[in-house]
Amino acid sequence: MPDVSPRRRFLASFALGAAVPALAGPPAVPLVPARMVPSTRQAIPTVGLGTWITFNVGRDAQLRAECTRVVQAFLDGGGRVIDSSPMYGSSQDVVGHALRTLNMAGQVFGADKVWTGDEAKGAAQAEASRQLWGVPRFALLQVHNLLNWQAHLPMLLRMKAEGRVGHVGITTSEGRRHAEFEQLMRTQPLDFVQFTYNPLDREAERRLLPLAADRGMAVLVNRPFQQGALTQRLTRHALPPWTAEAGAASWAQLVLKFILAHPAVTCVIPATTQVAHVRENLAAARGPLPDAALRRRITEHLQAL
Amino acid sequence: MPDWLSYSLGDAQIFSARAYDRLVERCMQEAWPAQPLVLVLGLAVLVMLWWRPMAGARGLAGLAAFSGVSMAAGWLPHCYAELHWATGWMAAGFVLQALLLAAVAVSPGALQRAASPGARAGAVTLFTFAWAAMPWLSLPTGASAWRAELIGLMPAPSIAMTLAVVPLCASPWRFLLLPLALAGVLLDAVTQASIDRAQWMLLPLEAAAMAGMLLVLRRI
Repeated sequence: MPDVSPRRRFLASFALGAAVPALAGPPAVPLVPARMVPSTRQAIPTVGLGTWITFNVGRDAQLRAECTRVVQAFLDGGGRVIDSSPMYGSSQDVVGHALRTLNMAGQVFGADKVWTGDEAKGAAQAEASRQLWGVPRFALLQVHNLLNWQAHLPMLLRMKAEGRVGHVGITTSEGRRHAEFEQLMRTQPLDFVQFTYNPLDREAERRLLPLAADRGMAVLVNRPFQQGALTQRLTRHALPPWTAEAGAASWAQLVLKFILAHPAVTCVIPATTQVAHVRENLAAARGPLPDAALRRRITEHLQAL
Repeated sequence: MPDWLSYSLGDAQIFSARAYDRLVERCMQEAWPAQPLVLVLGLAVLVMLWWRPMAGARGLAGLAAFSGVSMAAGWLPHCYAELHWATGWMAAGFVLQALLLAAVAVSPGALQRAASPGARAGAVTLFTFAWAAMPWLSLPTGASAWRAELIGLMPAPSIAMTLAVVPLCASPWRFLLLPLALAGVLLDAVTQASIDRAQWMLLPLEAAAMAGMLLVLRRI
């Protein structure tokens, strides 16, 4: 097999992405376009589900039932990537509750994180998280916000070598510690990186996204809606007619399509508590994506609002 | 750069206002009939502060200590821990503060300023705010009365009660009580602000009023 550079392999995965079926699921569901994880060539749907704030509902039976309906709509709609963290309160437990209720633990691409300053507690925390989810193993474990990555990253890479986790990554959000993040991307054998990117938070375009493409790393995009603040602000304005060029039926879809149109992005993970929003988010992955000129127009328009 | 410096105010929000409100409502329903009990205890302390100042001051410090224990043994582990991972640290803070308040209540001379009418008036004002005003000011329009935050049952009025003890204390005790109380003020304000609640300013206002009273009391 000829040697293929990470960048070429990555670009090939993007070009083929639309034709790659999502992870195995019921055959009747509409597929969400998928892209490959460059390091393992595993295809994942391009829209995932975040759980920050939205799934931290404690033992509240009504809110847990609502979260379960969100997960059901997400999986029924062809979504697979669910992302959580020990930092998110009861979110992991609520995800696990939903997966057990739906008997769908085997259907998800479970992405979680290690988040502790204590080196000795990292492995135990990862195992506790796995038990909360009720999955045989995580598809992805990430060092959350680079917290004590010096200890946790080697531990996660060992877990991957032993087959106890599928992929390893690091995360940050809201533009924090990008210099250190970039340094780790240059020096560590990472499968995934996760950071914030949207039409108004575009710092990642300068270095992190191109570097991910160069290094053959999959990219998860968090906080696409600026924790809801962006979509709340946008709903006060009418959606301009020209957004139909991108096939966007709402502001949320326009933002997601903007993000997914960047070739280095593998999957965006918006969080929501509403089934209608889940369907709207998944639908954003289908249809046309904005070209460079339209992406520029989106950015300029949103900045002006 | 230390890891903790990379966190912002937005990171303080790890749950929604709706999840928090429903948790408070559920836990306060489970706490019934503690509500009338703490209201009566508060009234008793208030009356004593006027008629038997030293006993009232000891009662106030004792009730504040009891509230700290109640937070550490009740609200934090049984309710708030459902949503927040740091309740163990918060409980430790409340236990430490409760020990300090208990020491204030029993130590001779610790509450010597209770004899001063000015200090007593300040304490009564601050305590009345914690006991009677905060529960209703903490209720957004149209919210269920179960969400009223009462002394001994919820952190904010319990912290406010500690602030009411401060003007009655002699200097060393006063400064021992302040660090944890002010940390509680800050934590509560950040939490409430993170879920867009206007009542985030209640405790900082009480703390500012207490600081103003201490300045005035130094001059009289």
